[in-house]
Amino acid sequence: MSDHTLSSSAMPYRAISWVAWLGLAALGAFAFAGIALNRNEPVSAAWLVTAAICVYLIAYRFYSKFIADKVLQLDDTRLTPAERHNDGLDYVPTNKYVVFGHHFAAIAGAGPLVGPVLAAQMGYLPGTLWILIGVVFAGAVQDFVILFCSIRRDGRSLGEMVKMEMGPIAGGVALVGTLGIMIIILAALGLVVVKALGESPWGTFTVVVTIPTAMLMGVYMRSIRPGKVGEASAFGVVVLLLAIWYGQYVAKDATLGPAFTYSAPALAWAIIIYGAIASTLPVWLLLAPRDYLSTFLKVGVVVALAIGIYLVQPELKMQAVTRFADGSGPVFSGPLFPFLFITIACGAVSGFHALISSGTTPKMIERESHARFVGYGGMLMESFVAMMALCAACVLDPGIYFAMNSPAAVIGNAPERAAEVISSWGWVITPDAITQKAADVGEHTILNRAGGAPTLAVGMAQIMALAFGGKALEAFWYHFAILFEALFILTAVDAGTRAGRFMIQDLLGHVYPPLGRTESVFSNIVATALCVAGWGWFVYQGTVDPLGGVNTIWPLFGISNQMLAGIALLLATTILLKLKRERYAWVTLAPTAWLLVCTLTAGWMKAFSADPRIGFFALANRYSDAAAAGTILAPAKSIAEMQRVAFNNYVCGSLTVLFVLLVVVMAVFTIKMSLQALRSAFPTAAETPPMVREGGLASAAA
Amino acid sequence: MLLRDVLKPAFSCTDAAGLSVGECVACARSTMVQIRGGWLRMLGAPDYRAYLAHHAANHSGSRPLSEREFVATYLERRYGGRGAGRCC
Repeated sequence: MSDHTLSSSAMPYRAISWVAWLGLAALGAFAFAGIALNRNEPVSAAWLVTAAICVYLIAYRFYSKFIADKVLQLDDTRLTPAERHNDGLDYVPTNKYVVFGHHFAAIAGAGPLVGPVLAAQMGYLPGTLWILIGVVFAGAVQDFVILFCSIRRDGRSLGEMVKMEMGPIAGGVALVGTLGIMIIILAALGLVVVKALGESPWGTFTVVVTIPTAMLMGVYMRSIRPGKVGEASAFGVVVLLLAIWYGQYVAKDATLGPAFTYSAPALAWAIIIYGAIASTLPVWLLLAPRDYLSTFLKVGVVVALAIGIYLVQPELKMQAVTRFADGSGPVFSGPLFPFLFITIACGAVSGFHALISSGTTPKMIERESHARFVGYGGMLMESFVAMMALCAACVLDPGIYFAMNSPAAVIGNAPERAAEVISSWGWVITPDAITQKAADVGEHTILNRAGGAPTLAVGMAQIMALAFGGKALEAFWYHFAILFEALFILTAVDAGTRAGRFMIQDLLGHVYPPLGRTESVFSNIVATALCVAGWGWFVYQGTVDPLGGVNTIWPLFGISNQMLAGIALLLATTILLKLKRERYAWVTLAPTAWLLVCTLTAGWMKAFSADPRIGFFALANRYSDAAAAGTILAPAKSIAEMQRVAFNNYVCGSLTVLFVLLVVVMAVFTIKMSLQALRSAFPTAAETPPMVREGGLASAAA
Repeated sequence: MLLRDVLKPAFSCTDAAGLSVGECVACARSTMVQIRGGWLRMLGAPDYRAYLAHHAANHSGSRPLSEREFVATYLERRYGGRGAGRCC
């Protein structure tokens, strides 16, 4: 497995290995050919998954090895932060498979499930290609390189590394950017939950049950049987499954049903209040136990879905490329370039991972060489989740897909009207089929449920019901999938609000020092309120703005997330240049350039496009002008609604401009630092001075 | 290769031949403890036994944290918001 153990006896192994890799490449090529040659015939989703797995294995074996050996020059004789600072608490040298699992659980959330579902409106091919190419050359590279940089700097965070390598002003810019992203991510995720649970007593009931369940687990692990995580989690999983089963009776019940039926704006308020309270509770009570639960479900669902796809081999009903690749689609507007590349963020490349790769993970890595498996491999795994989400969306009847994901402004609220509009796009569907699907999954309606979660749930329910349990269990699987997503979104809301609070305190501390004190109750209340108000505003507006919703917030999320990826890759490039490895700088420079081109183009178009379907300011002007003239434009119903649309779009537009400016500032800093680094005759990267393991390579290889 | 890597810690005791029954049981036990610890760390859950072992090995002079203190500190560090928390 490593070169220094290579001897003559290893030669047959090498030959077998090459044959095996050639075979794998052939299988991948065969799978792609199967997809490409059957353009007018149904293609099985299993081909997509097979092609993806082949790409991952080959990229991991060859490209990540190249990065590990040549670009980063991982050195197992160097002590890692986990070994240097081993405290049995934060810094613990950990088995690499364990770190992999830990890292994967931390990076994979709802993101890779939502983006690909939205992007399915352009067909399965553009999304597949971007997910695969993006992860191999951008996403996994980013995670791996940032993890490496953090390992070489005592496990420092992304913000601290930017400060160290690029100066305090760049560090401040990165902090503001990270906070902006945090707010937008929480808003987007919150809106996904709200859209999924609106008018759905079954779903709302099961999600509400998770809160006391997690609290009981928390109390159990703290006071009744300390440290018995397995027992508590088993209890939690059983209760949740029972809750999903019992939910159907709650929904039908004459008194309980209406008690759990809420409109989207009411749910928006509920999640805002929940976020404010949950983020101030002690972590052992709610956050930690629910996190364990969601990790179990996450791993279980990913495995079950992969098995399901191979067992059922569902056909992809969506075309390879639909007519909406031109940008006229209802789910999100804007042409394939650049909007596909910001819609699918997680799964291809996600800036947020840079925060995880420079968070807990580098403090657990036992050997530098493990960073390849954990960083690069972990991201490939997330990409695999995104591929399965794409499959789940594309095996649905496209008519159903568009019924679920188009805004009410386009297809209305009644099945008859929706079927008419969607059929006119070329995907023939009857109102009965829409109503029947809603009944199959145990909902009143499936219309206008944009946000990915419900679509994925319907697709998953279809696959899982065919694989395990038949039609009778379809509604159960649907609500299982909704619960599964809601579970880690609520966890993200809780954890994200805490993280956002610290960032706000950090920023406010520069303005007025008492507000920066994290132990002060006053400062905590102010910062929590600001953070919750920030994302809560977007969630609430997303439910009351007639034109707002996931289609408005998701592009903003994509832009901010890819912007952070851009910042992380700019830092990585600076560090490679400072290490005097300019020969290999293209490894990070190429994805940086692509991301900057996509993000800046998308940002510019979202802000300033003259087409009101795309440009925030164009839409805002149109509505404010009309409001000033006293005319009411559909779907708004009053002048007040018109003004709300205008105001919301001015806010979104300004935020987009802010994100674009942040990227440009960071790019300027990078260029400045890069020129300095290129002029310097020797490496200038601020790595922690190495400590060499006693026994050198011998003990490292053991 | 993958399988070998995974099982390496579990079979490390087979290197020593001629173990007594008691030693075998102790060995199997320590393997279980390792697997349990890995499982907990993967979940991100606190592992008090591993902490005690670490403490005994490195700081045997001082008093270790009690289980409750350890768990509270661990959870606060992990979820308190200083880290990035969860991803999207």
